[in-house]
Amino acid sequence: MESLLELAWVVTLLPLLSAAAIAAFGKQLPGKGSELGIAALAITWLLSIGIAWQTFSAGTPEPFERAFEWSPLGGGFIFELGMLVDGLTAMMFLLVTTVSLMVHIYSREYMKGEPRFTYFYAMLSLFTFSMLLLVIANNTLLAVVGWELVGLCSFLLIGFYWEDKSNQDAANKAFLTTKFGDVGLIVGVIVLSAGMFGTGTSTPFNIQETNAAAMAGELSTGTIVLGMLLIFLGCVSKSGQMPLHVWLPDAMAGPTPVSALIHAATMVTAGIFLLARLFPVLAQSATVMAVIAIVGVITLFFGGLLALVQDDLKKVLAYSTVSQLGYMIAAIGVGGYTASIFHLFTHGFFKALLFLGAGSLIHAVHSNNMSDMGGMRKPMPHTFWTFIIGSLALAGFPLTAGFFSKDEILIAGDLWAGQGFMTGNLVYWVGLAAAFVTTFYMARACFLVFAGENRSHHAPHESGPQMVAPLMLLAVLSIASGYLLSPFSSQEFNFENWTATPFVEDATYPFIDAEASGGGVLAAGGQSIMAAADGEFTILHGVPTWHFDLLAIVLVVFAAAVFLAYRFYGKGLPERDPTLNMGAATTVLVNKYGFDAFGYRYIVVPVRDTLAKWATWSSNVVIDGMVAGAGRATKNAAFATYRVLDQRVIDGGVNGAAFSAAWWSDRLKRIQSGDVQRYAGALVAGTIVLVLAIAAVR
Amino acid sequence: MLIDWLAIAPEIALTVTALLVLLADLNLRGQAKQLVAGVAAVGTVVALVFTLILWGDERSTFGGTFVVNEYAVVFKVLFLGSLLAILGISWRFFAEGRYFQGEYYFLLLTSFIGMIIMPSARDLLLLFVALETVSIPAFIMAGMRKRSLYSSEAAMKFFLIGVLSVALMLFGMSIVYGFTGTTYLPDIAASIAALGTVDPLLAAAIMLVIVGFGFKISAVPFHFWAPDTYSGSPLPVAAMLAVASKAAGFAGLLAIAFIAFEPVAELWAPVLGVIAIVTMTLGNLVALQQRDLIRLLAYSSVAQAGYMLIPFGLARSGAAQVNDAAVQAVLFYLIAYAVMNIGAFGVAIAVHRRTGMRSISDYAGLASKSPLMAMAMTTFLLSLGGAPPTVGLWAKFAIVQAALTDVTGFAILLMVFLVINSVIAFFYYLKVVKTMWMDSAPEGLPALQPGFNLSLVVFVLLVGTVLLGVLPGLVSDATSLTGLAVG
Repeated sequence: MESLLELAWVVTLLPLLSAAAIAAFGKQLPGKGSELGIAALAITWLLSIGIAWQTFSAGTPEPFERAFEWSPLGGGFIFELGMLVDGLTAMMFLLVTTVSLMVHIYSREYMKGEPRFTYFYAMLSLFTFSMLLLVIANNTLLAVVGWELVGLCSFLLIGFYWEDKSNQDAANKAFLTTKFGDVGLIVGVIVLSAGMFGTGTSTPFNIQETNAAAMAGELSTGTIVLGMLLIFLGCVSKSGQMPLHVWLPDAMAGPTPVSALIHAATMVTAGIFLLARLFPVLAQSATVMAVIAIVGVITLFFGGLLALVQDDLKKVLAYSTVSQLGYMIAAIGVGGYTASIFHLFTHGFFKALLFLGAGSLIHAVHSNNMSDMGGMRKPMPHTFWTFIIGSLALAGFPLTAGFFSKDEILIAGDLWAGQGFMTGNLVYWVGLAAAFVTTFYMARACFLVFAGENRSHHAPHESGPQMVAPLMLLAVLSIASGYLLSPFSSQEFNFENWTATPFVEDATYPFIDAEASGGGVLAAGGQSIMAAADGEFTILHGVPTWHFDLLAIVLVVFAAAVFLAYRFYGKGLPERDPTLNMGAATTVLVNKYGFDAFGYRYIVVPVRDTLAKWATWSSNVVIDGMVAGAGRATKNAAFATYRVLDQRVIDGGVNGAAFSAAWWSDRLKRIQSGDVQRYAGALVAGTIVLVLAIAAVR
Repeated sequence: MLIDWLAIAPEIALTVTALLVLLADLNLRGQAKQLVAGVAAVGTVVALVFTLILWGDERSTFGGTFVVNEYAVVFKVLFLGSLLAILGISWRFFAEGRYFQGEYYFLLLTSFIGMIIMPSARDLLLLFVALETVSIPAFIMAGMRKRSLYSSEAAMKFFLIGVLSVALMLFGMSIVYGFTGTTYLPDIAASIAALGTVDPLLAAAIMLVIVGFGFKISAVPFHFWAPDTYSGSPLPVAAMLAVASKAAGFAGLLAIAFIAFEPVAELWAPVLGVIAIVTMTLGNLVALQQRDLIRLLAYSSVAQAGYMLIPFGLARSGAAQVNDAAVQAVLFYLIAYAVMNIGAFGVAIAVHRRTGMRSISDYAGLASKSPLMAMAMTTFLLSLGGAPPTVGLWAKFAIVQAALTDVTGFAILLMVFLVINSVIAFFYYLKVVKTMWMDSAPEGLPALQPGFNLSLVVFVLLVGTVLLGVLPGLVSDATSLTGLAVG
């Protein structure tokens, strides 16, 4: 079975071929190129399932690495064009190809009749290739190439309806914001590789070697802290962490299937993937982990609040994505390697489901706004039940996938707190509080969309089979994927062992005194469990057992949130709802409804209207302002440089054609007597500065 | 003194061709004058063949002041290849405009004679003569659009600044001679090393020599002539100044820096490193503001010169490995730069022919009318930015690799500026790409008619950009030589 892993490169390259084929002949084909994309994706999907099965059934799979070693420029430096296939890669393969295939099928109906249908499919396939390239890369340089390509595809697809200026602006904003982080990423990669080069390797970008060197203590602390923080900056912008999340809600300007694929399930998780890849490196520094955890905690809470005040259904989901990505980042920062990528995995399915469901609704009512929906349960039964399953999973309702993965994150926080780290407590308690917020806004969305009267001006009807079938499959996965790491899972064959590479498994945190605290294993695979049997280590992870205390809290939180949402939104639009409830509260059952009113007035209203508004304001005004200000400052600096140095001091030169002789002579005079003297003046001044500086230094 | 005729065969071939062109132009009338371009091309190919015959040889003549080795041959092939490309993009431009074609081709060939002497020169005097042979015909060529005020302005500014900087350089060279008593580069190095301490006056003289080359490669603050001159000159001349003439400046600077002044590398390396930072940053920032494509390319070429100065900032005396890596990075970047920049100018000439304008908005909708030209321009611009899979990526990578040879704090600083500048540069390159592909073309604009020669050149350069992007080894094998120090 070795052969299947060797075919991993096919998984990556096939979508590139199909992108090229769609671009070349797509327009001539009956399906306008969509059949090419779907066929290619179906093959890669089957291959990914095979690879996933092979690695999964191996327990803890050995990483499989193949590379063309290539020394294009000589000089003891080898560039690798290679693949690294381990459980993490296989997991991402499965996620990316599944969601991508579903989106390819779904878009046939959703994008029907679009003038740029073929272009859309070519871009989808190109994006899939880029993402898989990032995933399969065995070195950071190749990963950066994939990273930049997904960014480019995202930019082009956000601006897909480019006739509308606001969509272009959204695309530009996304591009600029993520590019800001990309500078950090690239410099970070160079810093790490410079450190690696110092250890005498000829392949300084190789991920496995970097991990090994970091664990062996060959990289200096400065290299690790600086390099990983810079790389983390790239992850902050790409994975929508505060304060660089501002582009993600605007990115909803793109077609909804694109939001599902790129801005929910795959591209935005690239940052988490990269951190997971380099986890043994960042685990060397308590500082780096603390920074990551705090950014994640801030994002998961405040991102969730923002979702409360949205009317646009896609924006609710977008802010929810920001919040969920915050969970994943926070989990990485508290040592929850497995928890983080497990949530990445399950979130990919249920968030893609929610976006595609939203697309189905938008398709039916021709509006993104929940105030234009309502009563959708009857006309769209399949969209209804799949959307509810997705919402339950997102809210972490017991026995759905989101429940297992989110609890894994909370438990990781708890364990980290047990090692004496404040960030662990933060993740646990803020994570719980945010779970309430999550449930509340999803319940609000569900009630507004499916309950009450139909407020749209259309007669909605269920979408066709090509849109409904992907919803159903994703709904099944939104529940089933959670059982890969649940109390029902096998001790040997589970998600944790699958994705724990030997590096992650063997590494310990250098900043935790294992002897004193009895802890310190990064993540547990089969071998760590064996080690723990000797009584040496506390296992920081493993197949979860039932935490009934946590289960109880989660259930109470869930019930409270849904109940509150039902009180306010269960009957119709919120504008009418509160007053009706308040009237009932004051007249019928004072105590009961008084509690409701209290909750509404002193918890919901302040939170929803003040805190969340403030958060929206800060997000829109302060942070956007800063981004715009930075942009303006750059522009002004450039302009000032141009004006002052080039135009005023130096030039003023002859810039336009003129036809009057007087003007000519006047200008000619200036050419001869004015400007060139200034040029020469600059030259001489530069020379004098150089000469004096050198003479002074000597 | 015996002269090694084979060693100077390429120079002789080019000289004979230049004279033939002048004679042919005198005797041909009307349309027949267009034949001189063909004569020039054939002569260039002959020179190229002689150059390739010299590959692998180690020859020197004129008492060791003229050296032919693999390093020099790579440079000569670069220059002659550029000459062929420039001839290709010039032909229609000059045949259709009201120009004196014969003079143009004569001057062009003469300028290139100076260029191919440059990498072989190992003597201050020969370097100086070569540099002036490059420059003086270029002054005249910049002013060839005689009826255009711009062109006269371009030539005038170029000439005055050029003369001034050469005067400073000559002054510096004379002081260096005073200290060392020789004009032969390896002897200068030996003599400076023997002096032990560096006299402030000698240090100042070294800076003056660098200023002279700084003008040629348009490094800040000696770059001010470049945008005015590029935008005023006939476009093929601008291409020649931006690429070949700049490469010649680098060839001279490499020889001076890494042979003659190698023992005092600690003195000039930080200076050139700082100039590199200032040059690329200022070039890119100002380029962001440009609406005229030629001025954009001009400032972009200032920034590119900044990138190419980075390896100079890495140099250290006695560290042969570091210095070799630096020289190789510059050489590789020059080749990549020639391929992509001449290509970009080629497309600009084709667009200019249609409208007579060259503001970026004239490129709107180019993709719908002339998709292949738009594709080519996109590739060249992405390559200038350093995107995969183009040769521009490897050019930047070669610089990073040189910096990684021996990591110092200054090297990391230079890398940081390189990365930041690469990102800034993408904004204005992509702005043009976006205009070509996403903006709609004005009504009634005809498709481009670039003509066969220009199309061929653009196509070859396009293939080169992508092919070298996939297989940089084709060129880097040739540039990974250490012929310079052998001197």
